[in-house]
Amino acid sequence: MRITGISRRTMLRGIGFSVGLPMLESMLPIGKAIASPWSSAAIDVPTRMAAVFFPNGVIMPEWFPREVEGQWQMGPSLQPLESMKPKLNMISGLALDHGRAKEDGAGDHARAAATFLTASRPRKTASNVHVGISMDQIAAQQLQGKTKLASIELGLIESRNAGSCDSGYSCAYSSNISWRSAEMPSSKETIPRLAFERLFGDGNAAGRAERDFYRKSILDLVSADAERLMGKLGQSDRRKMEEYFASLRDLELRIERTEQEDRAARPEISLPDGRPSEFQEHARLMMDLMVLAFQTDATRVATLMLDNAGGNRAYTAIGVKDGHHQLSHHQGSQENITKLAKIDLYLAEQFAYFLERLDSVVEGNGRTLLDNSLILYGSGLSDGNRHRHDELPIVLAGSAGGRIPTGRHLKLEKETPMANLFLSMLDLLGTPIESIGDSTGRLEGLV
Amino acid sequence: MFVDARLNFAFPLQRRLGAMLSLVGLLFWGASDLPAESPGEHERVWTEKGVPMIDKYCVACHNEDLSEGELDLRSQLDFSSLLGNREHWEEVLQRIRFETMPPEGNPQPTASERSALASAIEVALYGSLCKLNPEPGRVTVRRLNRAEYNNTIRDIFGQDLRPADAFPSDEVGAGFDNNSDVLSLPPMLLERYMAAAEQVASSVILDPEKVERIDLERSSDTLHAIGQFWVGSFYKFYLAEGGIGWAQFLVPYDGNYELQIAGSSGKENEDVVLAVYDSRGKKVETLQLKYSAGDGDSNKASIRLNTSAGEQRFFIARVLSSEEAPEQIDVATLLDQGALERALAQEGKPLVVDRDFDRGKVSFALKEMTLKGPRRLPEQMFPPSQRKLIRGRPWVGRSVAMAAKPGIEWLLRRAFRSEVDPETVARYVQLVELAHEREENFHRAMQIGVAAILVSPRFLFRVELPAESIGAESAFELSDSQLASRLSYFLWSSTPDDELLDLAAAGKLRDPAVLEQQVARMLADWRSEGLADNFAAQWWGLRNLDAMQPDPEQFPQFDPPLRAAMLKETRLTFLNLVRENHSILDLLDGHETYVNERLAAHYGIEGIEGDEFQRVQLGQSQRRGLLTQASILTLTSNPTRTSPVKRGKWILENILGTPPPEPPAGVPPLAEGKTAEAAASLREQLKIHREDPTCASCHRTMDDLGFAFENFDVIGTYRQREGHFPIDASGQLPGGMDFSGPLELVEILRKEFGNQFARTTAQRLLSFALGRELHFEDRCAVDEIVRSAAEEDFRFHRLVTEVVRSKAFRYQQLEGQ
Repeated sequence: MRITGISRRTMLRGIGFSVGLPMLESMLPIGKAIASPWSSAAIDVPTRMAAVFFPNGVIMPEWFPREVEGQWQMGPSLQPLESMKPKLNMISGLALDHGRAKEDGAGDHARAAATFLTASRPRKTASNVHVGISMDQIAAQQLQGKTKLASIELGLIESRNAGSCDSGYSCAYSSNISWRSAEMPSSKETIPRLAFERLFGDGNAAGRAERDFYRKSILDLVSADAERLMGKLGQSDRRKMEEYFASLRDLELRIERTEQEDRAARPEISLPDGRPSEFQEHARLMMDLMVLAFQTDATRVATLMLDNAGGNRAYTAIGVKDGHHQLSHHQGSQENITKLAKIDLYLAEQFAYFLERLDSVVEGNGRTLLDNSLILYGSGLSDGNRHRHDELPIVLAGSAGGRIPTGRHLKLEKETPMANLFLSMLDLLGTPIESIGDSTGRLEGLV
Repeated sequence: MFVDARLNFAFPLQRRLGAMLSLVGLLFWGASDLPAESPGEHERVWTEKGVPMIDKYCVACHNEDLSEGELDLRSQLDFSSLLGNREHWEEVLQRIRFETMPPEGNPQPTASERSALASAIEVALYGSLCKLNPEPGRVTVRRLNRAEYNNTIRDIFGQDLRPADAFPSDEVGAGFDNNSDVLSLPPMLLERYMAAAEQVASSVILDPEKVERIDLERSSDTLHAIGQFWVGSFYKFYLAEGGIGWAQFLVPYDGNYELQIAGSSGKENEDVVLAVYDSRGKKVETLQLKYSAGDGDSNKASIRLNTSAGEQRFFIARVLSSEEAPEQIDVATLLDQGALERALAQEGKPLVVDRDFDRGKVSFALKEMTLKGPRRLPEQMFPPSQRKLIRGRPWVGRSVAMAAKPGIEWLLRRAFRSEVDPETVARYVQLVELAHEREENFHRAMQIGVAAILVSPRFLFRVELPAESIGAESAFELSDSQLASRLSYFLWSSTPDDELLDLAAAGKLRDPAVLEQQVARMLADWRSEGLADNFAAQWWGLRNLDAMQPDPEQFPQFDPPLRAAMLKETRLTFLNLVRENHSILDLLDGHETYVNERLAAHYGIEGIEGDEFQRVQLGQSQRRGLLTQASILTLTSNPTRTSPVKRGKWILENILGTPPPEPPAGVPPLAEGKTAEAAASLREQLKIHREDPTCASCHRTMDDLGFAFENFDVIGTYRQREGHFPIDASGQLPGGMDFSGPLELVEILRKEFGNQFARTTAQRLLSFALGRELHFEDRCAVDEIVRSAAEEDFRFHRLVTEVVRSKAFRYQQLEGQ
C-alpha cells in the first residue's frame, strides 16, 4: 500500500507531535479539572481498557514465564515485553470452558474467538448467531455518553467473506471478539483512516454542525418509518429493527455529544487511504490510533484483533512463509515449532510497541496512560496444535491507576474462569456487573 | 462413503444419486425417489428394519447410562421420538454412511446391513415429508449488503458511486453474505449509511448555483490585434483598415456564453458593424458599436454564442453590414502558429502606449472582450438522475412542496421498491420544505430529502409483510412488488428496474408466463454479472483468493495481475454459462476457457497477446473445466505446497454438496507442513496420517479426490514432478471407480455425479436466492427443482427458473410476534 508523500516514520512522529504538550489540556477528559503543574489537586483520570487478540494459540513452553531462584522471568517469546515487566502481570491458569467442544464437535477456532471476551457458549450455527455480550461492551454501555465513542473495535483482517469459517460456525464468530449483544457482533474497522475519522471526524467542523442539524431531522423522519414497520413484524424481524433503532439512538447521542464538545481538537496526522498490506505497519497504526483515542478521551474502550480466529497469514517479514494456522498444527515438528515461536515473538514485539506508546504519555495524575489502563493481551487457545482452551496465554498490562500491583506472575488454580478476570476488570473500570458467561466470582489475588 | 452399489439393495432408483450425503439436512438424497407409501408404512420399515440394527450395533454405547458422545439413542428409538430428534438422526445417518460409526474395534455391520440401516433411517426421516406440503420457510428482514447497496445506488441514480466500499464487511451465514439472519446493523454501520446517503445525495443532484461561472475580461496585454494598430491611453486599441482584434479564453464547460465587446466606431456620427468569428474562422454573429471620443470611453454590445470547453479564440473584424459579412475568414493564414505563440507570449508584459497616431486611419477601436457564462450548464454536466429528481424549482404559484413532490415520489418508488402511499411522500416532502426554509436553496433542500430516503429502513431493509393481517405462522404469497425485489436481488444483486416495478404495479409479475419471461430477460441483462460476483464467487470461495499468499520464493511469478487474471477466467466461465445458457454440467468438463496473455503463458497456451481475454479451446491439455482453473487450484493450496486434502474437501463441499463430517472434537486437521519425514512424498506423508482409523474413513476419499489434481502446483501450473517425486495422480472412489489424473476424474464426476452436482447447484442457488440457510423442509423444493431441471439437462436458465417457481421463493411465512 502506498502512503502518499509521507514515510511511515514521519507519520508516526506526526502522531507523536500532534499529541504533545499543547494538546494535553484540551485532551483531558471532559468535565474534569485541568491539570496544572502548579496545582497539586488530585486529578481524577479515568481507567481505559483495551483487549488485543491473536489467533492460533502459542508455543506454550516458550511463551510462559520461567521461575529462576524464586524470581519469574519472561518466556523467550515474550522477551520484547521485558522492559515493560514492572508494569504488567502475567496470568496463567485461566480457561474458557465454553470454547471446548462439548456436544458441538469441531470449530475450536471459532469458539476461541467467540468466547475470548464473552466467556459464553456460542450457538453452533451458520446463521442465527448467539453468544453473549462481551466484557468490553458491558463497560462501553455503562460509559456511553461519557466519551464521543463508547468503544472502538479494530482489526487487521476483514471478516472472511465467503464460505463457512470454521466447521459450521458462522464467520461472525471467527471475525469478532466484541459483541454488543448476544446476537450482534460489533463490526470491526480495518482501515486506519476510517477508524481515525470515526474517532475524530473528517476535519470539517463547520460542515459537521450543518450536517448534524439535518442528521437529527433525518433521524426523526426515518425512525417514524421504522416504527410503522415495527408494529407488524415477527420476533426475528423485530430484533433486526431494534438494532436499527439502537443504532439510530447511538448516532443521536453522538451528535449531541459532539455539539457539547466541539473543542476536541482533531489531531493532524496523515494516514494511508486503504488497508496497509504490511502487517507490522498496519498493526502499529491501529495501536497508534488506540493510544490517540485514549489520550484524547475520544473513547475508553478498544479492542484489536491482530487476525481473525484460525487466521492463516504468512508472516513473510520474519521469513515465515507458511500460514499461521497451518503451522499451528505442528504435530511436534521442531521446524514448525521454531517458526511458531518466531511468530509469537513477532506478535509480542507489536504488543510491546503498543505498551511503550501508552507508557510514553504522562497524564494529569502524574501516571502514564499505560498505568491508567488495563490492557489485555492474549489468545483464546493455548496449545494451538491440540486446540486447548485452558492454560490460556494472557497478559494484563497497566495498573488501573495504581490500583493493582504489577510485575507479578499470577499463577492461578487450573481452570479458573477467564470470566472472573472480566468481573475484576469491570470493577476496576467502574462498570461492575454481577456475572458474565461462566464466571464464579472475582479473580482472587488480582487487586 | 461412496456407498453406491451397496445402497441399491433398498432403492435401486437411487443408484445415481446414492453416493453421498449432505450435512445440510442430507438434501441430496432424492426424496422423490423414496417409495410413496403411507406414513404407516414408513413407521413399519423403521420398526422392522431400522430398530433391530440400532439395537445390535449402536445402543451398547449410546444408551441412557453410558451416553457416549453425549448421545443416547435407546430412548429415541420409537418413530415419533425419531421425528422429534431429527438432527440427532441425521447425524447418525451421516456417520453410518461415511462409515465412521461404529468405531473400529467394535462389531461392524456388513455392507448390506449398513445400507439397509441407512435406508431405513432415510425412509423414517424423509418418507412423508413432501407429501405434507411443507411450509415455504421464513426469511428474516434482509438488510442490503455491501454489493447490493452499491448496485442499488448505481441502478437508481445511474452513477457507479460505490459508497458501500467504506462499509465494514458483511458477516457470512451459510456461505453467503446476503444471509438475513447474520446481517446486523451496528451503530458504526448506521453512521456509514448516513455518511453514504449524504455523499450520494450531493453526487446525484448538482446545484447549478454552486457551479463556478466564468467572467473573463480580456484587455490591454491580453487583447491582441492583427494588422496595423495603435494602443491609446487606457489601453484602447485602435485598429487600422483591415485590422482584426482577438483574444483567447479558457472555456470551462460547453455551453451558451455571453461575449461582450467594448469599443467604438472609428468615425464620429457613424456606427461600426463588427463581425465575431470563432477559433476556426466561422462567423458567429455581428454587432454594432457607436462612436465614443475619449480613450477612456467605450460603448458596449453583447452577443450570445455557443462554444465548447477548452481554449477558444474570438476574432473581431469590421464589416460593411451584417448582410455582407463574410461567413468565413482564413484564421490559419491571418494568425499562423508562430504569430499566435508570439502574441500569447506577450501577455503579462507592459504595452507601449502611443498617443500621437493619425486618428483618421482608424477603422474601429477595441477596449475589452469579456466572456461570461455559461448561462445554462450543458446537459451532460448534470448527474443522470438530476432531471428526474428536480423537475422544476419553486416559483410563483409553485410552492416548495409542489416542486419537491415529483422528484421525491420518483425516488421513493425506486428506493422503497414499491408504490408509496401519499402520506409517506408528504413526510419526506416536508423535510425538503424544512431544509428549504433554512437554506433558501432548493437543490440543497432536495439533497437533504434524498439523503433521508437513503437511511430509511424501507430502503436499507427488505421487509416482506402480508397485505392483510393473517395469523402468526401462516404462509402467504408475496405481492408482486415483493416478488420483483426477490428477483432483482437474486439475479442482479440490485434493485428492480422500471420494467419490474411497472409489471408489479400492474399486478402482472405473478403470472407464471411473465415470471419466466422476466427471468430470461434478467439473465440476459448485463446486471446478471451480479450473480457471478456474489453468487458464484462466494459459492466457490473465490473471494478468499485475495488472502492467498503463495510463497514468493517458490512462486515469484504469482503477482496481482496473475491473481486478477485467474479470477477473471473463472468469472467469465460462469458468465458464459449464464449468457449462453449451457448445462451446468459443462462447468465440470468444459473444453474451452478464457485467457489473456498473462494467463495463457501461465497455462502454456501459445498465441495469445494482450490484456484482453479471449475464448480458447483447451484441446489436448490436461486442463478441463472449473476444477483445473488456476483460481480454484490456488485457493485450495497452502503457501508452500499443494493440499490434496483441501482440494478434495473443496470438491466434496462445492461439487458434490457433501461436506465431510466434522473431525471428532479435539483432533486437529492434518498437518501438511514439512514433517520429520520430509524426504517422503506428500502422498506418502498423507498415507501415514491416514493410518489413524478415526481419520481414515473420511480422508481416504477426500485425499484421493485431491490427488487427481497433483499435476497442478500451488498456483495451478502444470507439472510432471514434485521435487524428486514423479506425480502420481491416481486414486479410487469407493464403489471401485478408479481414475488417474484430472481428466478421468472430471469425466467420472460428470457421468456419475452429474445429478448430485445439479443438486448442489440447486441448493446453493436457493439458499442465495432466499438469503437464508436451507432447512430440513426445503429438501422438497430442492427435489422438485432438480427433477424439473433435469428435463433440460440442467441448463442454467431452467435451474434458475425452477428456483424462482418454487414455493420457498414465491411465498413468505409470518413469524409469531
